[in-house]
Amino acid sequence: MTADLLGPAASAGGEAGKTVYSVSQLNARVKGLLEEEFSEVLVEGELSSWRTYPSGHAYFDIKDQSAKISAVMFSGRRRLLRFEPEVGMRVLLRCRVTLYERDGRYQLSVLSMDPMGEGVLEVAFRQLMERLEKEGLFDAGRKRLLPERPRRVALVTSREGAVVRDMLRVLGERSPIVEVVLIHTLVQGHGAGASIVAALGRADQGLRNLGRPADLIVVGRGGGSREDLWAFNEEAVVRAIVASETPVLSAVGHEVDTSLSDLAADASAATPTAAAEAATRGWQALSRDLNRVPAALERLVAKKLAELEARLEDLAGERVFQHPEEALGILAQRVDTLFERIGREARHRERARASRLSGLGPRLVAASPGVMVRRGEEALAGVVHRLGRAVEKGRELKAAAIGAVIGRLEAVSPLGVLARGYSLAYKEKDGALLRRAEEATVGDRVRLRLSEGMLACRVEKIFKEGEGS
Amino acid sequence: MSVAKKSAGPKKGPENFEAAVERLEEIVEGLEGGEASLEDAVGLYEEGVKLFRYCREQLDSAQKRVEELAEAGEVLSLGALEDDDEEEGE
Repeated sequence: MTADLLGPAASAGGEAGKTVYSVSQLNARVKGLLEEEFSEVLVEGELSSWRTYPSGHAYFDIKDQSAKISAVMFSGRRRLLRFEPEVGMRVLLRCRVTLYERDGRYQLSVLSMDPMGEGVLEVAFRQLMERLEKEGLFDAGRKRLLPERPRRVALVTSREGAVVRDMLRVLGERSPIVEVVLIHTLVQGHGAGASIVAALGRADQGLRNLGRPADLIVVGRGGGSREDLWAFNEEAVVRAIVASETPVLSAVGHEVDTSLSDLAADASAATPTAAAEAATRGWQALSRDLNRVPAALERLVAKKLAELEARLEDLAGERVFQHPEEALGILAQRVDTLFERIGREARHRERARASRLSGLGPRLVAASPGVMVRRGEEALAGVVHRLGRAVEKGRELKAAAIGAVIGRLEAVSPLGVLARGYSLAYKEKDGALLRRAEEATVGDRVRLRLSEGMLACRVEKIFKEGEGS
Repeated sequence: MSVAKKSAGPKKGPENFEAAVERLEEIVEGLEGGEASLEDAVGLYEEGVKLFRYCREQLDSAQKRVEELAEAGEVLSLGALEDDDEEEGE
């Protein structure tokens, strides 16, 4: 630099013709030149240090392979940063060049900083995610199971737009039994984060305090740009979701979007509509299961009856019932053998007694084996007869009992009668059951309920009792 | 067996929907077990069909109920977004 360039001289007792500056004067002069020439420049480089102070100011160096410059970012500017600068990060600085007069060192006063290579939101997202992850907020272990069949669902989303209507439609159609409480919130733009936090508070503790706690909170919004969805990545929103006493299902944006809200919630769905479906899945399943109940009950009782019938058949099939005379023959044979033994014994005694006593003859005749056998046979025949009648009677009784059971089943069963080929006819317009032909008029649309499925029919002609067929 | 015994008590409607569903599950399981006598089985069947009707009715007759919890904390009915439904909080 030459003296002319440096402008008006502060003359002092130096070399003749040369301007002599004080240190402060020179620094001030250089500072002025730098600030004038480099009032706003862009610099690209790597952060090589990053120190912050309680004042909020940050001091750092920016460097490339062979050189570095010190830089300062004052608190006012730093507050606008959406990510946390890290050493080694490649950044683009918008800055003024200035001079730190005390040290005579030139430095950059940074107006704004952007990460290079990735967008600022990506960096911010990654950083917050890493930090909250370390804290354990996304741990699978702290996630709760969603209630299988929620009775009251708090919907935290914007009351405007198609998304909320879609969700209400799905919730209502799939399970009208579910009570929905909509809690409106801003979902994008300035103040959206705070609005979501407040709405989550109302959905959780607010409803609890009203004595009507929700079983489930569904929080989310439809698709949009990364910027639009940003509120759902704010730390305060994530923490409000984690703090909720009520389980939270999150659905932010489309399938491809993942928000920190999604990660922090107890469960997440790909889209708000999918969330509404997930919330009512248990009800759907129940409704489906319920529809299978009548048939299952029928089947189970029919099985029971079939078992009983089979047992009766078995019983009736036993030889003694099939051929009572045969069983009786065996019995009679045993009786014969028995009487033969008794007879031998009696004859033996008779001879012994006859030698000593007389006059007992008639008594002995009455007790003679032959007479006893005859009596036995008569008695047996009576038994066989009664046995046979008992078997018949038993069969009749069992048949009557089963008939009564079937009657009781049919009285309550929605399907029993239909299963045998009968059908129920309902008028389509008012659902009235048709009992007599006169209840219908020609042209009526009629639904025929069969044991499985329905038929839609139209009445062509009406036959009174006894006509047609 | 215990399933059947429970039904022996005085026949009254189920306490609430959840209780009805639970009881219905019990009944189907009880019948599947196959240990009930015919009399019990038919009793369970009758109870099952009644519970089924009750549950179906509850599910089908429920009103879509949508409300909005306003910022001030009051609950508003949301007739505008859904079919009209004049219901207020219980």
